[in-house]
Amino acid sequence: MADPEHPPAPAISLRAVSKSFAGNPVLRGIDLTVPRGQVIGYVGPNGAGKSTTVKILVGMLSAFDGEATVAGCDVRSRPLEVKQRIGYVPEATAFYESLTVHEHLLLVGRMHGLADALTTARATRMLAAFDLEPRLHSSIGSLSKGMRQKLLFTGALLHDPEILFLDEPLSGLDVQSTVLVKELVRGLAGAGKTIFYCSHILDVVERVCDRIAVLQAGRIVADGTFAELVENSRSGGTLEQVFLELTADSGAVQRAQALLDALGEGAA
Amino acid sequence: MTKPRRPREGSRLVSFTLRLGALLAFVLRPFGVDRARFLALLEVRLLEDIGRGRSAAAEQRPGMFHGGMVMTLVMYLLFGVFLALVLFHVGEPLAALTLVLGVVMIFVTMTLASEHIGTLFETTDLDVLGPLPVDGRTVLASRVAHTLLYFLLLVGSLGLLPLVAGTMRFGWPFAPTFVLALALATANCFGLALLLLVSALRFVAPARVRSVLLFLQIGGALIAFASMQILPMLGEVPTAWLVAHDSWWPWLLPPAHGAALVVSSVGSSPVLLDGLPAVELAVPPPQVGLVVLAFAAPCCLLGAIALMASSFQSRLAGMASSERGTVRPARRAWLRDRLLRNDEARAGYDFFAALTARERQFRMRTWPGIALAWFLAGWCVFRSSSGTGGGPAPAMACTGLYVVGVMMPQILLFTRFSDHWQARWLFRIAPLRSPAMFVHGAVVALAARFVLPVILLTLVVVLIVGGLPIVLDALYAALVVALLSLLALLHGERHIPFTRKFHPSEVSGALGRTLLFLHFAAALALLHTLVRRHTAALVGLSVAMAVLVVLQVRALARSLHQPARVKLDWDDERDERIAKRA
Repeated sequence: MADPEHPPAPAISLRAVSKSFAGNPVLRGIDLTVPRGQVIGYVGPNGAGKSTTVKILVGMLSAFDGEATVAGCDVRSRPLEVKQRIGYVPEATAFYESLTVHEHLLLVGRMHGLADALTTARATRMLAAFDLEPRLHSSIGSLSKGMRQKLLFTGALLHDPEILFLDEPLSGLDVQSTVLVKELVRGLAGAGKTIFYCSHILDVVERVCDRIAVLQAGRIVADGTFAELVENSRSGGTLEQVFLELTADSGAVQRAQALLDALGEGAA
Repeated sequence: MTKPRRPREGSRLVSFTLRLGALLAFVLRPFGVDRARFLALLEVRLLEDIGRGRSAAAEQRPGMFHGGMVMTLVMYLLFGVFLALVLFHVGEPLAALTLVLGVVMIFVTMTLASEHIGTLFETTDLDVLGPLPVDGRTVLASRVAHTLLYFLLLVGSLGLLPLVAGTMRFGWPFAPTFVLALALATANCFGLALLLLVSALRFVAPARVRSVLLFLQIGGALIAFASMQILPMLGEVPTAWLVAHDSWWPWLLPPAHGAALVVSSVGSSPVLLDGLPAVELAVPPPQVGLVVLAFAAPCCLLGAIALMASSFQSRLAGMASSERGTVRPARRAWLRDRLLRNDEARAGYDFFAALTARERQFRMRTWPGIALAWFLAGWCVFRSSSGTGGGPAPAMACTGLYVVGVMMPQILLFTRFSDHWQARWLFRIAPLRSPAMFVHGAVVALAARFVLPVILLTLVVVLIVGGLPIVLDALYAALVVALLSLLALLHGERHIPFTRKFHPSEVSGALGRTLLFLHFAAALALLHTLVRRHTAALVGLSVAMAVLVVLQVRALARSLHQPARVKLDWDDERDERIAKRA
């Protein structure tokens, strides 16, 4: 029974978080609170600061201004507790290529304190669901991009985390796997997991997320449910239209023409 | 498009090197190297070096002129003292110069074999270069030019003092011809080795190329070491005597060609036999042909390399992809479970054990050194038994063991590097309660699966060759080596293994340290010789060493749990900056 006087800490909380790389501001005072069990879509154009936000939240970047907590734990002062409770599917898939799939998952499992038998059992079932079980003893170097993405998912879910950070999770996946991941996200949300979902694929965000935050040049320019975003926008309709309006990028046709013109330059 | 591009960060060094590169590109153009692309690729590699160098100052990170590289240059400079003395003390210039240039060629071969093959045959940037319209020859040329920059610095340090000494002895004409001879010697040596390597890449099945490269590397290190044994014979036997007795073989030695070039310009001084002027040695007619050969060889090598390197990139990609396949699960649990109780430590053990067997950087840097140590053990036993006639001199016979011992700090260093260093994100997001425990497992794996077997195998080699008379000596030496290894593990910097990007400057420093550590081996062998005059003293010291080994094992076990001793000092932001810039 929830105690109304002591509400549970939010799953994710960012307070005035700013981050610069070599003097270039990437995040400019982000404020965001994500309650437990919510699936939040975090969208924005390239370079808006989505991956930087995720790296701060998963404890990969500790030098930033402001406050960030995950599962009630400060990511700077209690990074281990944060890491114990989260799963992370990064945007870039770097692996130790000569490890096998099984060795990689054992490594991840042991670092999360799982017994080898449990890791192997879970990994086998999850890999089977991803049609990856026959590759259990293959070196990671032999996997395709989509298979690596599935391996990242398996590694991120292996310890049954409370909060899942997905950074472009559908990258490289085939249609069947994309559908599988969408269903998986819905299922995890139904099981009470919090999911922080970064993506450029807006129709998927529109369908699977309870709430959407739009990031532009390091600032959150809109935050709400899909219906709220559409209601508050002038261009209405789809999330793509709302996104283009919010990110001041309605001149795509003109810019495409400029690109085509540039191709012809000098040819005459 | 033909001018070198302006360095984006205005570095004078990059700018200057690119000007040299532009000259080299001009030379290489007839061999199918695209000048503009060559300079673009070279600039990227240099900018990466400089980027690391800059952060070195602020973050104590390795860079091109980081302490390791400076230390190596100083070591090479100091080694040049011996070469300068040779130029002063060996009466006949041809013999002296052959000796000096021979040493330079040996250093070039050893450095190339032990350190730079990894850079030349790097596969990590293939994903970037693969889709770009750049020819394999151009890619190889840019890598060679980048590597040659390091060789320029190393050979420059090694040849500086001989240059000064030779100029003082022979006059000003010596300087330009000696520099030219040094350049030719380096080019010939480098070219020949490169031709072998590129041929292996071209003709050997992709799945076996890595192994062949490793064997070539080991062979290169052994040949270089064996050459070192031949060279003093030239110092001992004046060239005039060889000429007078129709000995032709010294003229086959490549260093003699460069020496002939120098002697042609400065003239040969009277040869002293037993302190008396014996013969005025003129440059013999065959030498003229040899001088021509000294110039012709690099051109021939260049042509052959260009011919072989047309498919460099695609063969490299084939090599990288051929290693991928199913791996039979290793049986390492029994030993691991008995040595370690903690899960994180076991994870470190398995991670390390799996990658030492497969990680290219580790294999290519470690095994040639170990092979050299075993070769040295056999050589010393052979020399000592043939010299005394009454069985091997024990201290000499145990030198191989000492060499293995002094290599251990370097092996510990090599465990840091990986081609797949970006996979360290795994450790960034892992809830490792104590990185020390993870590293503990890795150190135990290093000791149990690598250090101890290598020491034991070397001990067996020494005992087989040396026989029963040296059992006590070998035991003492093995204990000393175990102590050295433990000290290295105890006091060496600890990092999570295989999480650093390899960079030539870091390993140049390692080579410098190896050369320095070799002096420890010599000192230990000397101490051994002094101690063994009294069997009781040797027994006593052996017992003392055994006690020290036990104490160090306990100290190691205690220290391994201290989190503060493990460095988690990766700078992701800096590496990402470098990657983006590249």
